[in-house]
Amino acid sequence: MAKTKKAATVEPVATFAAAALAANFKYFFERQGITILHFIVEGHKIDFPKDNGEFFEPILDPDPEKHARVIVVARQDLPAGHGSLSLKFNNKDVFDIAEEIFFHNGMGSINKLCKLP
Amino acid sequence: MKKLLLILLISFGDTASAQYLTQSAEGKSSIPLPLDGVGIGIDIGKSELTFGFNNYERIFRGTTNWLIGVNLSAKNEEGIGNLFSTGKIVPAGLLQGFAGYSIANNNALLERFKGSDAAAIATNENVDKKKLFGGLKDQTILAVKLSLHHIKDISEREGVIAEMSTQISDIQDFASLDNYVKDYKSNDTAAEIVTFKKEFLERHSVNVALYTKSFRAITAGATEQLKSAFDNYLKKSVPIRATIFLTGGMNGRNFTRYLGIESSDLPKAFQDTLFKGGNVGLGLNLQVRNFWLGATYNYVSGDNYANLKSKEYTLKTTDNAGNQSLTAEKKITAFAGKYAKVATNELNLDLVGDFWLSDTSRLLANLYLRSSIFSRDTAYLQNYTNIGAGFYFIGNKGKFLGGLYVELPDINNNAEKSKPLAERDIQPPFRKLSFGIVTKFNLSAIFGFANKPAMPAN
Repeated sequence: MAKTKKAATVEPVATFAAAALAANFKYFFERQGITILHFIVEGHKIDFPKDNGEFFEPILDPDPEKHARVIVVARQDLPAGHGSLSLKFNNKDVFDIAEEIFFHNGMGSINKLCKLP
Repeated sequence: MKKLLLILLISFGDTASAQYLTQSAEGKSSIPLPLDGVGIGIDIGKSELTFGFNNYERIFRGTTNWLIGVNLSAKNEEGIGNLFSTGKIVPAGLLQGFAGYSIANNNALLERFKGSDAAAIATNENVDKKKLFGGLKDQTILAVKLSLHHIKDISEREGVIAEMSTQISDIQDFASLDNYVKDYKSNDTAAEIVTFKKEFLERHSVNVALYTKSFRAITAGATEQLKSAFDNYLKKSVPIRATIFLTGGMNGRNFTRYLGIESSDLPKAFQDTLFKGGNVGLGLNLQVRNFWLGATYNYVSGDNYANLKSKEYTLKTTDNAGNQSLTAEKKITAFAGKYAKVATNELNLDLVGDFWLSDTSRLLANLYLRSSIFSRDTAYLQNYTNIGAGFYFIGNKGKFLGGLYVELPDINNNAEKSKPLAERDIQPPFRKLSFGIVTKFNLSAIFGFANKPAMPAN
């Protein structure tokens, strides 16, 4: 009887499960003459990402100023090809201005531990 | 017409973009440029307006390997300068299409990254952090169990541990765990619950401190290792792309020829001439690392319009009536000289290197060759080859900062050699160099496969 009563109080579990499904990151790539090969935010990995999208990735950082590791691997397809990443965490901008992908010898990258808003 | 063209030029002036990635003196290149949809370009100096469509950006998004595109351009062949100084208009148009196939080693580059130390470090960092967080959750549940002795009622204890275990197991991020733990029964003022919470939170605080220390160590270690591992991957990765395409098009030009005085009917000395030509050819673009080689080879059905000399004539007509006369003057701009349609072949080569100068600037260096060969009638149109180099400075977001080119026209002096000996003026190559400053450049440009090489001056 007691277990039945306590089981009823466990119902809020659904709250956390639902929260976990909601996307907390949104991204947008602005690009011209390049190919984005791989995109990583913490443990979330995307091959050949589209120009924009959203996903959930849990932040395990215990510090008040939380950080997330962001990695982009890109290639340059044309001379002067360029691209940048805009990233939102909980609908707030991670970068003040879109983060430029830095190209050298035809390969481009972003490899940053980014402070989350 | 003059006013209309002027209005058109001013309207598009602010959004104008050059046609080609890098330019020869004639403003053409054999390196393809991306466009996702339709683009408009205008070259004010050449009074040229271009509409273009191609799907090249879709190839970079992996949607397709097939390349297709069309360019349509219209211009005043004599440029904007003559338009304003003399009102001379020689309308010319070009419709150019291209279709091809592009392949790249993107999958190999991706797989290479996934097998790299950099990817392993990033993956391990995340796995380690998730394991650490799992450990924190276990320690939190253990802290609940160790603090439960304050609650006397066994069934209530079981209820608390069941509820908290289930909740904590489902939590995926640190902030939610911390909030849940701190908020749990925070409004419950029962003495047993308050003392339970007090001990539990003390234990949780110790656990979090240990978790934080370990978490920071994992992050710092990965950050340190990732930098060199990432640089190593990038250094050893060689992007390669090959694009082959067929290109073909048609062009037209309307101009007035001066035929010479052969009768008393002077207006018959001028003839409106409509030239219709075309081209068909093959192109190849090859990228290795930060170097691009572009080549096109075309059969061209053309003419020797560029060899004609433009002159302004004044035709005076007088009407007599009794002892009075009325004189009217008409200015006619016409092109004099031997004229014929001549078929040729064209070879265009570009080598472009994209060099890093600093975090915010890059240099594009372009060596090029524009060659008109196998003239079917050298009496009207000589073969010629122009070579040149261009240098373009690019800022953030591909923004064009400025550039210049230098070109050596007709390196073999074929035009001079075709003249009678007394009229020849063969100059050393460096004395024929032409220079130009490029002030406008935009990567929202269009394929530039037309590649009509610049004619050497007569």
